Amino acid sequence: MKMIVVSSDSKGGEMYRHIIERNVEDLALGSSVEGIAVLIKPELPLFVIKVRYRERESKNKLGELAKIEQRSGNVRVVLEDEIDLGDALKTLWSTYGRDRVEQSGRTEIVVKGADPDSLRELKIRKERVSVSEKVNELVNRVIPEGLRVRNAMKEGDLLIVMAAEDPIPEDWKRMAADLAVDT
Amino acid sequence: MLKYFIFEGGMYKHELLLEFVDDVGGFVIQKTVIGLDLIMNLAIPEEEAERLQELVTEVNGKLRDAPLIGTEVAVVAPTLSRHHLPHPACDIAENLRRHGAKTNIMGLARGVGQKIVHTSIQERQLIEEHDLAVFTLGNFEHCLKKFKSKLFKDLSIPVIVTGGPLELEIEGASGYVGGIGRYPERARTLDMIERLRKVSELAGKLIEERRKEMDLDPLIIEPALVKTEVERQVPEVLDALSPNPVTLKVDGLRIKLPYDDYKDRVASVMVDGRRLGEVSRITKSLMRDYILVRILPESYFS
Repeated sequence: MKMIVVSSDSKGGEMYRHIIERNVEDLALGSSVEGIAVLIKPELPLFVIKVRYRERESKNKLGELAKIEQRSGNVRVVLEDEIDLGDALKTLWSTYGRDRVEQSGRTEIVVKGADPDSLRELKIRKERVSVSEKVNELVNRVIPEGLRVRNAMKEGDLLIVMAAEDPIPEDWKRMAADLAVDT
Repeated sequence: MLKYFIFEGGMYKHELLLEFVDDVGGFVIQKTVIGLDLIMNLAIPEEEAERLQELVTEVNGKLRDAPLIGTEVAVVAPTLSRHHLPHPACDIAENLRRHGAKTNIMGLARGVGQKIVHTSIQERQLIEEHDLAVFTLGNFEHCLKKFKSKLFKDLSIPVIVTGGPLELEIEGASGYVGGIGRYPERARTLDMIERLRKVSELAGKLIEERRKEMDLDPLIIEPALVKTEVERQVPEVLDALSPNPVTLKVDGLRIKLPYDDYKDRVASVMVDGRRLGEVSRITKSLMRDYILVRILPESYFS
Protein backbone atom coordinates (compact mmCIF):
# COMPACT_ATOMS: atom_id res chain seq x y z
CA MET A 1 0.00 0.00 0.00
CA LYS A 2 1.42 3.36 -1.02
CA MET A 3 0.81 6.37 1.17
CA ILE A 4 1.47 10.02 0.49
CA VAL A 5 0.98 12.62 3.22
CA VAL A 6 1.29 16.26 2.22
CA SER A 7 1.01 18.52 5.25
CA SER A 8 1.90 22.10 6.03
CA ASP A 9 2.67 20.86 9.57
CA SER A 10 5.28 18.18 8.97
CA LYS A 11 5.27 16.70 12.50
CA GLY A 12 1.45 16.59 12.55
CA GLY A 13 1.49 15.00 9.09
CA GLU A 14 3.81 12.24 10.29
CA MET A 15 1.53 11.54 13.25
CA TYR A 16 -1.43 11.25 10.89
CA ARG A 17 0.54 8.83 8.71
CA HIS A 18 0.88 6.64 11.79
CA ILE A 19 -2.83 6.98 12.64
CA ILE A 20 -3.77 5.89 9.09
CA GLU A 21 -1.38 2.91 9.14
CA ARG A 22 -2.76 1.68 12.45
CA ASN A 23 -6.38 2.05 11.35
CA VAL A 24 -5.73 0.23 8.06
CA GLU A 25 -4.25 -2.56 10.16
CA ASP A 26 -7.16 -2.57 12.64
CA LEU A 27 -9.73 -2.79 9.86
CA ALA A 28 -7.69 -5.49 8.06
CA LEU A 29 -7.72 -3.39 4.88
CA GLY A 30 -4.04 -3.89 4.03
CA SER A 31 -4.66 -5.99 0.95
CA SER A 32 -7.76 -4.14 -0.27
CA VAL A 33 -6.37 -0.61 -0.19
CA GLU A 34 -3.93 0.12 -3.00
CA GLY A 35 -3.01 3.68 -2.15
CA ILE A 36 -3.85 6.57 0.15
CA ALA A 37 -3.06 10.23 -0.35
CA VAL A 38 -3.68 12.84 2.30
CA LEU A 39 -3.50 16.62 2.15
CA ILE A 40 -3.53 18.46 5.47
CA LYS A 41 -3.70 22.22 5.86
CA PRO A 42 -4.56 23.06 9.47
CA GLU A 43 -4.33 26.80 8.75
CA LEU A 44 -7.37 26.71 6.41
CA PRO A 45 -8.46 24.19 7.96
CA LEU A 46 -8.71 21.48 5.30
CA PHE A 47 -8.20 17.74 5.37
CA VAL A 48 -8.38 15.71 2.16
CA ILE A 49 -8.08 11.95 2.03
CA LYS A 50 -8.09 9.93 -1.16
CA VAL A 51 -8.28 6.16 -0.98
CA ARG A 52 -7.85 3.87 -3.97
CA TYR A 53 -9.10 0.37 -3.18
CA ARG A 54 -10.24 -2.85 -4.78
CA GLU A 55 -13.89 -3.77 -4.30
CA ARG A 56 -13.99 -7.49 -3.75
CA GLU A 57 -16.22 -10.04 -5.36
CA SER A 58 -18.95 -11.57 -3.29
CA LYS A 59 -17.49 -14.76 -1.90
CA ASN A 60 -18.78 -16.55 1.12
CA LYS A 61 -17.69 -20.16 0.82
CA LEU A 62 -14.36 -21.11 2.36
CA GLY A 63 -13.43 -22.98 -0.83
CA GLU A 64 -13.66 -19.70 -2.80
CA LEU A 65 -11.69 -17.70 -0.26
CA ALA A 66 -8.84 -20.04 0.58
CA LYS A 67 -6.58 -22.82 -0.60
CA ILE A 68 -7.58 -26.00 1.17
CA GLU A 69 -5.26 -29.00 1.30
CA GLN A 70 -5.19 -32.19 3.31
CA ARG A 71 -2.05 -33.12 5.23
CA SER A 72 -1.81 -36.29 7.31
CA GLY A 73 -5.35 -36.23 8.69
CA ASN A 74 -5.40 -32.46 9.12
CA VAL A 75 -6.66 -29.83 6.73
CA ARG A 76 -4.62 -26.72 6.06
CA VAL A 77 -6.62 -23.63 5.12
CA VAL A 78 -4.65 -20.75 3.62
CA LEU A 79 -6.80 -17.65 3.21
CA GLU A 80 -6.15 -15.35 0.28
CA ASP A 81 -7.01 -12.26 2.28
CA GLU A 82 -6.55 -11.45 5.96
CA ILE A 83 -9.90 -9.65 5.94
CA ASP A 84 -11.66 -13.05 6.05
CA LEU A 85 -9.66 -14.40 8.99
CA GLY A 86 -12.02 -13.31 11.77
CA ASP A 87 -15.16 -14.73 10.14
CA ALA A 88 -13.37 -17.93 9.09
CA LEU A 89 -12.08 -18.60 12.60
CA LYS A 90 -15.46 -17.85 14.17
CA THR A 91 -17.25 -20.28 11.83
CA LEU A 92 -14.63 -23.01 12.17
CA TRP A 93 -14.65 -22.74 15.96
CA SER A 94 -18.42 -23.04 16.13
CA THR A 95 -18.45 -25.95 13.63
CA TYR A 96 -15.46 -28.00 14.80
CA GLY A 97 -14.79 -26.70 18.32
CA ARG A 98 -11.79 -24.78 19.61
CA ASP A 99 -9.75 -27.93 20.26
CA ARG A 100 -9.67 -28.90 16.61
CA VAL A 101 -9.01 -25.48 15.07
CA GLU A 102 -5.63 -23.82 15.35
CA GLN A 103 -4.38 -20.63 13.73
CA SER A 104 -0.86 -21.44 12.60
CA GLY A 105 -0.04 -18.26 10.71
CA ARG A 106 -1.40 -14.84 9.84
CA THR A 107 -3.67 -16.27 7.17
CA GLU A 108 -3.25 -19.96 7.92
CA ILE A 109 -5.57 -22.23 9.89
CA VAL A 110 -5.20 -25.94 10.60
CA VAL A 111 -8.37 -28.00 11.22
CA LYS A 112 -7.75 -31.39 12.78
CA GLY A 113 -9.60 -34.40 11.37
CA ALA A 114 -11.93 -32.46 9.06
CA ASP A 115 -13.22 -33.40 5.63
CA PRO A 116 -11.75 -31.00 3.01
CA ASP A 117 -14.85 -31.14 0.80
CA SER A 118 -17.21 -30.10 3.57
CA LEU A 119 -14.75 -27.35 4.50
CA ARG A 120 -14.86 -26.06 0.93
CA GLU A 121 -18.65 -25.75 1.15
CA LEU A 122 -18.62 -24.05 4.54
CA LYS A 123 -20.12 -20.55 4.43
CA ILE A 124 -18.20 -18.21 6.73
CA ARG A 125 -20.74 -15.39 6.73
CA LYS A 126 -24.28 -14.62 5.71
CA GLU A 127 -23.59 -11.40 3.86
CA ARG A 128 -20.70 -10.43 1.67
CA VAL A 129 -17.91 -8.24 3.01
CA SER A 130 -18.19 -4.70 1.84
CA VAL A 131 -14.78 -3.12 1.42
CA SER A 132 -16.45 0.24 0.69
CA GLU A 133 -18.07 0.21 4.13
CA LYS A 134 -14.74 -0.50 5.77
CA VAL A 135 -13.03 2.22 3.73
CA ASN A 136 -15.74 4.67 4.83
CA GLU A 137 -15.11 3.63 8.41
CA LEU A 138 -11.37 4.18 7.90
CA VAL A 139 -11.95 7.67 6.52
CA ASN A 140 -14.26 8.59 9.41
CA ARG A 141 -11.79 7.33 11.97
CA VAL A 142 -8.95 9.33 10.44
CA ILE A 143 -10.52 12.72 9.65
CA PRO A 144 -10.21 15.13 12.62
CA GLU A 145 -13.51 15.29 14.41
CA GLY A 146 -13.79 19.06 14.37
CA LEU A 147 -13.93 19.21 10.57
CA ARG A 148 -17.63 18.58 10.13
CA VAL A 149 -18.29 19.99 6.66
CA ARG A 150 -17.65 17.06 4.36
CA ASN A 151 -17.55 16.63 0.62
CA ALA A 152 -17.29 13.06 -0.63
CA MET A 153 -16.81 11.91 -4.21
CA LYS A 154 -16.47 8.45 -5.67
CA GLU A 155 -14.68 8.04 -8.99
CA GLY A 156 -14.57 4.35 -9.84
CA ASP A 157 -12.33 2.73 -7.28
CA LEU A 158 -11.22 6.06 -5.82
CA LEU A 159 -12.90 7.65 -2.82
CA ILE A 160 -12.18 11.32 -2.16
CA VAL A 161 -13.33 12.92 1.05
CA MET A 162 -12.70 16.55 1.88
CA ALA A 163 -13.34 17.87 5.37
CA ALA A 164 -13.33 21.45 6.61
CA GLU A 165 -15.04 23.69 9.12
CA ASP A 166 -16.53 26.05 6.52
CA PRO A 167 -18.30 25.38 3.21
CA ILE A 168 -15.68 24.09 0.79
CA PRO A 169 -14.85 26.52 -2.05
CA GLU A 170 -14.11 25.40 -5.61
CA ASP A 171 -10.38 26.12 -5.46
CA TRP A 172 -10.01 23.73 -2.52
CA LYS A 173 -11.76 21.09 -4.59
CA ARG A 174 -9.26 21.71 -7.38
CA MET A 175 -6.45 21.41 -4.84
CA ALA A 176 -7.87 18.04 -3.80
CA ALA A 177 -8.19 16.94 -7.41
CA ASP A 178 -4.52 17.74 -8.02
CA LEU A 179 -3.43 15.46 -5.20
CA ALA A 180 -2.12 12.31 -6.84
CA VAL A 181 -2.74 9.03 -5.08
CA ASP A 182 -0.60 6.75 -7.26
CA THR A 183 2.74 8.52 -7.59
CA MET B 1 3.96 20.90 55.65
CA LEU B 2 3.18 17.27 54.95
CA LYS B 3 5.27 15.30 52.51
CA TYR B 4 3.78 12.40 50.57
CA PHE B 5 5.35 9.01 49.88
CA ILE B 6 4.48 5.63 48.40
CA PHE B 7 5.84 2.73 50.42
CA GLU B 8 6.27 -0.62 48.69
CA GLY B 9 7.34 -3.61 50.71
CA GLY B 10 6.19 -6.66 52.60
CA MET B 11 3.75 -7.14 55.47
CA TYR B 12 6.66 -8.15 57.75
CA LYS B 13 7.19 -5.55 60.51
CA HIS B 14 4.99 -3.02 58.76
CA GLU B 15 3.39 -2.24 62.13
CA LEU B 16 6.62 -0.38 62.92
CA LEU B 17 5.89 1.97 60.07
CA LEU B 18 2.28 2.46 61.14
CA GLU B 19 3.41 3.28 64.66
CA PHE B 20 6.01 5.72 63.37
CA VAL B 21 3.51 7.50 61.12
CA ASP B 22 1.08 7.77 64.02
CA ASP B 23 3.74 9.02 66.44
CA VAL B 24 4.95 11.83 64.17
CA GLY B 25 1.41 12.97 63.39
CA GLY B 26 1.28 11.59 59.86
CA PHE B 27 -1.45 9.72 58.02
CA VAL B 28 -1.84 6.45 56.16
CA ILE B 29 -3.95 7.60 53.22
CA GLN B 30 -4.35 4.29 51.47
CA LYS B 31 -3.23 0.79 52.33
CA THR B 32 -3.36 -1.99 49.74
CA VAL B 33 -2.40 -5.57 50.56
CA ILE B 34 -1.72 -7.87 47.61
CA GLY B 35 -0.79 -11.31 48.91
CA LEU B 36 2.28 -10.70 51.05
CA ASP B 37 3.02 -7.36 49.41
CA LEU B 38 1.99 -4.07 50.84
CA ILE B 39 1.60 -0.69 49.18
CA MET B 40 0.88 2.31 51.37
CA ASN B 41 0.33 5.95 50.55
CA LEU B 42 1.72 7.94 53.43
CA ALA B 43 1.74 11.57 54.49
CA ILE B 44 4.20 12.67 57.17
CA PRO B 45 5.63 16.01 58.31
CA GLU B 46 8.48 17.06 56.01
CA GLU B 47 11.11 17.05 58.78
CA GLU B 48 10.48 13.35 59.57
CA ALA B 49 11.23 12.15 56.01
CA GLU B 50 14.79 11.10 56.82
CA ARG B 51 13.76 9.00 59.80
CA LEU B 52 11.04 7.36 57.73
CA GLN B 53 13.60 6.47 55.06
CA GLU B 54 15.82 4.83 57.72
CA LEU B 55 12.89 2.79 58.99
CA VAL B 56 11.90 1.71 55.48
CA THR B 57 15.48 0.55 54.80
CA GLU B 58 15.33 -1.43 58.04
CA VAL B 59 12.17 -3.32 56.90
CA ASN B 60 13.64 -3.85 53.39
CA GLY B 61 11.02 -1.75 51.67
CA LYS B 62 11.11 0.97 49.04
CA LEU B 63 10.02 4.54 49.44
CA ARG B 64 9.40 7.04 46.68
CA ASP B 65 8.26 10.64 46.62
CA ALA B 66 4.68 10.98 45.39
CA PRO B 67 3.50 14.57 45.59
CA LEU B 68 0.33 13.58 43.74
CA ILE B 69 -1.01 11.62 46.69
CA GLY B 70 -4.04 13.39 48.08
CA THR B 71 -4.89 15.06 44.79
CA GLU B 72 -7.72 14.59 42.35
CA VAL B 73 -6.75 15.20 38.73
CA ALA B 74 -9.11 15.63 35.75
CA VAL B 75 -7.87 14.22 32.45
CA VAL B 76 -9.88 16.07 29.83
CA ALA B 77 -10.25 14.83 26.25
CA PRO B 78 -11.72 17.07 23.52
CA THR B 79 -14.65 14.66 23.03
CA LEU B 80 -15.69 11.18 24.07
CA SER B 81 -15.30 9.78 20.55
CA ARG B 82 -12.77 7.15 19.51
CA HIS B 83 -10.64 9.88 17.94
CA HIS B 84 -9.58 11.02 21.39
CA LEU B 85 -10.23 8.05 23.64
CA PRO B 86 -9.12 5.72 25.02
CA HIS B 87 -5.39 5.78 24.36
CA PRO B 88 -3.89 9.19 25.20
CA ALA B 89 -6.32 9.98 28.03
CA CYS B 90 -6.19 6.54 29.63
CA ASP B 91 -2.41 6.25 29.37
CA ILE B 92 -1.91 9.63 31.01
CA ALA B 93 -4.47 8.83 33.71
CA GLU B 94 -2.85 5.47 34.44
CA ASN B 95 0.57 7.07 34.81
CA LEU B 96 -0.81 9.75 37.12
CA ARG B 97 -2.39 7.04 39.27
CA ARG B 98 0.97 5.26 39.50
CA HIS B 99 2.31 8.48 40.98
CA GLY B 100 -0.44 8.57 43.60
CA ALA B 101 -3.15 10.76 42.06
CA LYS B 102 -6.83 9.93 41.90
CA THR B 103 -7.94 10.61 38.33
CA ASN B 104 -11.23 11.24 36.57
CA ILE B 105 -11.47 11.18 32.78
CA MET B 106 -13.81 13.66 31.14
CA GLY B 107 -14.84 14.24 27.54
CA LEU B 108 -16.00 17.70 26.50
CA ALA B 109 -19.06 18.23 24.33
CA ARG B 110 -17.32 20.57 21.88
CA GLY B 111 -13.60 20.50 22.46
CA VAL B 112 -12.84 19.98 18.77
CA GLY B 113 -12.33 22.18 15.72
CA GLN B 114 -11.13 25.75 15.44
CA LYS B 115 -14.40 27.66 15.43
CA ILE B 116 -16.75 25.50 17.46
CA VAL B 117 -14.25 24.72 20.20
CA HIS B 118 -15.45 25.84 23.63
CA THR B 119 -16.30 24.67 27.14
CA SER B 120 -19.64 25.27 28.82
CA ILE B 121 -19.96 26.81 32.29
CA GLN B 122 -20.95 23.44 33.70
CA GLU B 123 -17.93 21.74 32.17
CA ARG B 124 -15.64 24.41 33.58
CA GLN B 125 -17.19 24.07 37.05
CA LEU B 126 -16.79 20.31 36.92
CA ILE B 127 -13.13 20.61 35.93
CA GLU B 128 -12.56 23.16 38.70
CA GLU B 129 -13.75 20.65 41.27
CA HIS B 130 -10.36 19.00 40.71
CA ASP B 131 -6.92 20.07 41.92
CA LEU B 132 -5.34 20.00 38.47
CA ALA B 133 -6.45 19.33 34.90
CA VAL B 134 -4.59 17.66 32.04
CA PHE B 135 -5.98 18.47 28.59
CA THR B 136 -5.08 15.87 25.96
CA LEU B 137 -5.12 17.75 22.68
CA GLY B 138 -4.22 16.99 19.07
CA ASN B 139 -1.32 17.03 16.66
CA PHE B 140 -1.28 20.40 14.91
CA GLU B 141 0.72 23.33 16.25
CA HIS B 142 -1.48 25.90 14.49
CA CYS B 143 -4.65 24.56 16.15
CA LEU B 144 -3.14 24.26 19.61
CA LYS B 145 -1.55 27.70 19.60
CA LYS B 146 -4.35 29.74 18.10
CA PHE B 147 -7.60 28.08 19.07
CA LYS B 148 -7.38 25.68 21.98
CA SER B 149 -6.42 27.98 24.82
CA LYS B 150 -10.04 29.10 25.15
CA LEU B 151 -10.74 25.65 26.59
CA PHE B 152 -8.73 26.29 29.72
CA LYS B 153 -7.50 29.89 30.02
CA ASP B 154 -10.31 30.88 32.43
CA LEU B 155 -9.86 27.92 34.74
CA SER B 156 -8.76 28.69 38.29
CA ILE B 157 -6.75 25.47 38.72
CA PRO B 158 -3.36 24.61 37.17
CA VAL B 159 -3.62 23.12 33.68
CA ILE B 160 -1.19 20.88 31.82
CA VAL B 161 -1.66 20.53 28.06
CA THR B 162 -0.39 17.59 26.03
CA GLY B 163 -0.14 17.66 22.25
CA GLY B 164 1.76 16.50 19.19
CA PRO B 165 4.36 19.28 18.71
CA LEU B 166 7.44 18.63 20.83
CA GLU B 167 7.86 22.19 22.09
CA LEU B 168 5.14 24.80 22.43
CA GLU B 169 4.26 27.89 24.41
CA ILE B 170 0.54 27.81 24.99
CA GLU B 171 -1.44 30.66 26.51
CA GLY B 172 -3.34 29.89 29.68
CA ALA B 173 -1.60 26.60 30.47
CA SER B 174 0.74 26.09 33.41
CA GLY B 175 2.79 23.60 31.42
CA TYR B 176 3.01 21.74 28.13
CA VAL B 177 4.27 18.22 27.37
CA GLY B 178 4.87 17.46 23.69
CA GLY B 179 4.94 14.24 21.71
CA ILE B 180 1.63 13.02 23.13
CA GLY B 181 -0.92 14.08 20.56
CA ARG B 182 -3.66 12.01 19.08
CA TYR B 183 -2.37 8.45 18.75
CA PRO B 184 -4.17 5.22 17.98
CA GLU B 185 -2.52 2.62 20.22
CA ARG B 186 -1.34 2.04 23.79
CA ALA B 187 1.88 3.76 24.76
CA ARG B 188 4.34 0.88 24.80
CA THR B 189 7.66 2.34 23.72
CA LEU B 190 10.12 3.65 26.28
CA ASP B 191 10.01 7.00 24.56
CA MET B 192 6.23 7.30 25.02
CA ILE B 193 6.32 6.06 28.59
CA GLU B 194 9.00 8.65 29.34
CA ARG B 195 6.67 11.37 28.04
CA LEU B 196 3.83 10.12 30.23
CA ARG B 197 6.23 10.22 33.18
CA LYS B 198 7.02 13.84 32.28
CA VAL B 199 3.31 14.70 32.58
CA SER B 200 3.16 13.14 36.06
CA GLU B 201 6.40 14.86 37.09
CA LEU B 202 5.11 18.24 35.94
CA ALA B 203 1.80 17.60 37.71
CA GLY B 204 3.72 16.79 40.91
CA LYS B 205 5.74 19.99 40.59
CA LEU B 206 2.63 22.13 40.12
CA ILE B 207 0.87 20.51 43.06
CA GLU B 208 3.90 21.03 45.29
CA GLU B 209 3.98 24.70 44.29
CA ARG B 210 0.30 24.97 45.18
CA ARG B 211 0.87 23.29 48.53
CA LYS B 212 3.75 25.66 49.28
CA GLU B 213 1.52 28.63 48.46
CA MET B 214 -1.18 27.24 50.70
CA ASP B 215 1.37 26.81 53.46
CA LEU B 216 1.51 30.63 53.79
CA ASP B 217 -2.11 30.50 54.90
CA PRO B 218 -2.68 26.86 55.88
CA LEU B 219 -6.02 25.12 56.11
CA ILE B 220 -7.60 25.17 59.54
CA ILE B 221 -7.66 21.33 59.57
CA GLU B 222 -5.56 18.89 57.58
CA PRO B 223 -7.79 17.15 54.94
CA ALA B 224 -6.23 13.75 55.76
CA LEU B 225 -7.45 14.12 59.37
CA VAL B 226 -10.95 15.02 58.13
CA LYS B 227 -10.90 11.90 55.95
CA THR B 228 -10.11 9.69 58.96
CA GLU B 229 -12.86 11.30 61.03
CA VAL B 230 -15.47 11.10 58.23
CA GLU B 231 -14.71 7.39 57.78
CA ARG B 232 -15.05 6.86 61.54
CA GLN B 233 -18.16 8.95 62.17
CA VAL B 234 -20.04 8.23 58.91
CA PRO B 235 -19.20 4.53 58.46
CA GLU B 236 -21.73 4.16 55.59
CA VAL B 237 -19.12 5.78 53.35
CA LEU B 238 -17.01 2.64 53.60
CA ASP B 239 -19.85 0.66 52.00
CA ALA B 240 -20.07 2.99 48.98
CA LEU B 241 -19.21 1.13 45.80
CA SER B 242 -17.39 4.03 44.16
CA PRO B 243 -13.60 3.76 44.06
CA ASN B 244 -11.93 5.76 46.85
CA PRO B 245 -15.24 6.66 48.57
CA VAL B 246 -13.50 9.47 50.45
CA THR B 247 -11.15 11.08 47.95
CA LEU B 248 -8.56 13.46 49.28
CA LYS B 249 -8.01 16.76 47.54
CA VAL B 250 -5.43 19.45 48.17
CA ASP B 251 -7.94 21.67 49.94
CA GLY B 252 -10.59 19.22 51.05
CA LEU B 253 -12.33 16.02 50.08
CA ARG B 254 -14.93 14.48 47.84
CA ILE B 255 -17.26 12.17 49.74
CA LYS B 256 -19.04 9.73 47.47
CA LEU B 257 -22.40 9.66 49.25
CA PRO B 258 -25.67 11.32 48.10
CA TYR B 259 -25.56 15.01 49.06
CA ASP B 260 -29.21 15.39 50.08
CA ASP B 261 -29.15 12.36 52.40
CA TYR B 262 -25.79 12.89 54.07
CA LYS B 263 -24.91 16.61 53.98
CA ASP B 264 -26.11 17.22 57.54
CA ARG B 265 -24.31 14.22 58.97
CA VAL B 266 -21.11 15.21 57.19
CA ALA B 267 -21.50 18.78 58.50
CA SER B 268 -21.83 17.50 62.06
CA VAL B 269 -18.68 15.38 61.97
CA MET B 270 -16.42 16.54 64.80
CA VAL B 271 -12.77 17.09 63.89
CA ASP B 272 -10.30 18.38 66.47
CA GLY B 273 -13.18 19.63 68.63
CA ARG B 274 -14.83 21.57 65.76
CA ARG B 275 -17.91 20.83 63.66
CA LEU B 276 -16.87 20.19 60.05
CA GLY B 277 -19.74 22.40 58.83
CA GLU B 278 -18.19 25.36 60.66
CA VAL B 279 -14.69 25.01 59.26
CA SER B 280 -15.50 24.11 55.66
CA ARG B 281 -17.84 24.77 52.75
CA ILE B 282 -19.94 21.71 51.99
CA THR B 283 -21.47 21.76 48.52
CA LYS B 284 -23.08 19.42 46.04
CA SER B 285 -20.70 18.14 43.37
CA LEU B 286 -21.61 18.24 39.70
CA MET B 287 -20.26 14.72 39.52
CA ARG B 288 -23.30 12.62 40.40
CA ASP B 289 -24.63 13.84 43.76
CA TYR B 290 -21.38 13.57 45.63
CA ILE B 291 -20.46 15.84 48.53
CA LEU B 292 -17.61 18.31 48.12
CA VAL B 293 -15.90 19.57 51.24
CA ARG B 294 -13.59 22.58 50.91
CA ILE B 295 -11.75 23.30 54.14
CA LEU B 296 -11.31 26.98 54.97
CA PRO B 297 -7.90 28.57 55.56
CA GLU B 298 -6.80 29.87 58.97
CA SER B 299 -7.03 33.51 57.85
CA TYR B 300 -10.78 33.08 57.47
CA PHE B 301 -11.12 32.79 61.23
CA SER B 302 -8.62 35.42 62.37
